Amino acid sequence: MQKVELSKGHEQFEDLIENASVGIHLVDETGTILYANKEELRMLRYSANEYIGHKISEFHADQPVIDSIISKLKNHEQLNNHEARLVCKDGSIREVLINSNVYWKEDKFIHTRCFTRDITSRRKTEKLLQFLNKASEELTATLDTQEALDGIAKFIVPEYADWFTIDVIRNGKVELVKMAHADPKKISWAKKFREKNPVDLGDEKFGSTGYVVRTKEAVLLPDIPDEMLVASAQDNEHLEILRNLALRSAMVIPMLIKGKVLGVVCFISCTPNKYDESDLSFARDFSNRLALTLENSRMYEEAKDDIKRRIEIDRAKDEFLSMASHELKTPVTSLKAFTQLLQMTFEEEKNDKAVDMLSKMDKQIDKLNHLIVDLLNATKVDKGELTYDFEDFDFNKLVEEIVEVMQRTTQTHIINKQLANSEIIKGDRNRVGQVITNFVSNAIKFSPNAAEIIVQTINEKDNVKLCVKDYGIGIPSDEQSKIFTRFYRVRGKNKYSTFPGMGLGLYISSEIIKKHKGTVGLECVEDKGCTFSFTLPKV
Amino acid sequence: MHKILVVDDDQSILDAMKIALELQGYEVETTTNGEETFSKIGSFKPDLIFMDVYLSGMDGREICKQIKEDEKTNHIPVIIFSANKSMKEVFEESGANDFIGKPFNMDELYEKVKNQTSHILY
Repeated sequence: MQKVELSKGHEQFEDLIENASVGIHLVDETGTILYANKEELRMLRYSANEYIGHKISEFHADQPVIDSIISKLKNHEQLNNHEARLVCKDGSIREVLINSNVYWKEDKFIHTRCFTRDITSRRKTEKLLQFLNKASEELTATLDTQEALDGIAKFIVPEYADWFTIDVIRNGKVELVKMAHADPKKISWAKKFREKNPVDLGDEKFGSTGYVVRTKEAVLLPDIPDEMLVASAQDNEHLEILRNLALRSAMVIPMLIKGKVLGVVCFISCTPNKYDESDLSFARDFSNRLALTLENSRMYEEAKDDIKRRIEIDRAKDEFLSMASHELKTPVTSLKAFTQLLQMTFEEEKNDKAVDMLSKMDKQIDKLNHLIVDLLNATKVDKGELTYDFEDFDFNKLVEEIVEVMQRTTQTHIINKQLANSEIIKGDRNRVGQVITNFVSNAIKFSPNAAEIIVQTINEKDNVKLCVKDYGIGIPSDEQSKIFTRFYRVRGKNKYSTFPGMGLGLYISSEIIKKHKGTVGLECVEDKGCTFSFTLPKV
Repeated sequence: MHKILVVDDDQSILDAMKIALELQGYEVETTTNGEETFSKIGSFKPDLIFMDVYLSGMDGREICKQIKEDEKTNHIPVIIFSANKSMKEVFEESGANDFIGKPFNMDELYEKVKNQTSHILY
């Protein structure tokens, strides 16, 4: 055994160096190793004979790196945390940081003083963290899950695993969502193989998909022994295939969501001892993130389907309303025609009582018809199919006409007009009239104990404004925002007392005003009454 | 005496129209069958036609168009009537002379009939 002479009387120093927790070696001018301490030999798994006396370059994975180290040292340079890769006895690689300089004596190169620190596991952790971050990035970058999985597979294979699979369990069945290998031919072969030999969830053998699903445990197989292949092979042919695949190290990880197994992720390497505990903890993290993404994507798809279904239902409902209102109009038409014919007949006979009754009946038929029209209009408003005929018209004149007609329909209320100077506006006269009618008839309906309604027009700078004020029940402030929405109905004080109507009038009105680029408004004091208003731009 | 043909797929509406128009002294024929319109034009020779839009299996607008495209029949005024309120389009599309919404007031009906027939002299 070659060993440099250390000064006698310095046993403590000798002991310190020999048992230091960092690898230390000395190399002479020719690059031959003169000494290596215990830690250095342990790190690289050589015996002293296998290491000391050999050229240091034999143990470097990268020739240019050691050449450069030696030339720097000969050049009187000091090496600080110089990165290098050393080859262990079993062929595996250690990543190290080297600190070194030379002991010179009268310009003579005596030996190097070289300290070697193993950073393999730190590097690996860094790499795995990088993988994890990249995976997260891929998973959040796109809503297309398959695209994300493809992206992930690209950096897992072949760098981190030779085979990479993701299986999802849906309705008790295993569904392969991703299989990756560097060789596409091998993938198609493996897929065919899986078709012929489907994953058996009942499989109880340690490390099988069935085992992982059942136990919810992540399995680490650092080095797959041949006995394991024999045990898992279904027959000789299967065993032959497994042996040829040369699978040596594997991890089988459950994807867990709230304690439920969503599927299984599998990493397989052809390098023995590829995976250790640090890999397993990475793989667990990785699989959980994957599970979350797959779950999100499933929920997203479900939500999309749900929306599609709702749209379909909505469409069917609109179609139904449209059809129903049309169908309802046919009997109303003949009902109204016959009522009027009867009226004419009784007029001729001068039967005033019958004429009066029939006239009331005719009004009710009109009311029925208006309800039907509202139903049809609501569906048209929703679909944007309500048609408008825009023309210039005198706003006050329209208000006066409507008030006159409405006054005739009510015996309970006086409708007072407070009109500003008249303005010409551009709009659909009939539709705007429909809105005024709606506001006034609401005011009458919701102030059963009052006797007055005020209809006011106001000239603003760019708009005309119409206000309809009543002295009725008012609307609770928390419900005011909902009043212009479809099917909203005012409730009375008592939870169960409602007012008649379908909750469509104000909805249609506000949509009509919106189409005219105007706004609807509501001011309300509970128990004191409401003022409904709308504005329309002046010409 | 002016002759009026009413085409609608609802018999009850036809009954009401027949009574209403006959009360005013018009001669009325009705049919629920859109395809019969042309044979009725040939045999009954109406001075005015009321045409519903949604006939079973046929489109009133199409029949109206055909009437208006044929030189032998295009002089006959057609009043489209429909429960669909966006009727202006229906009216313009089909080349009809006028339109009336369902349900309608008798006064409105009589007014429209008078407008379309007053120029026809006997």
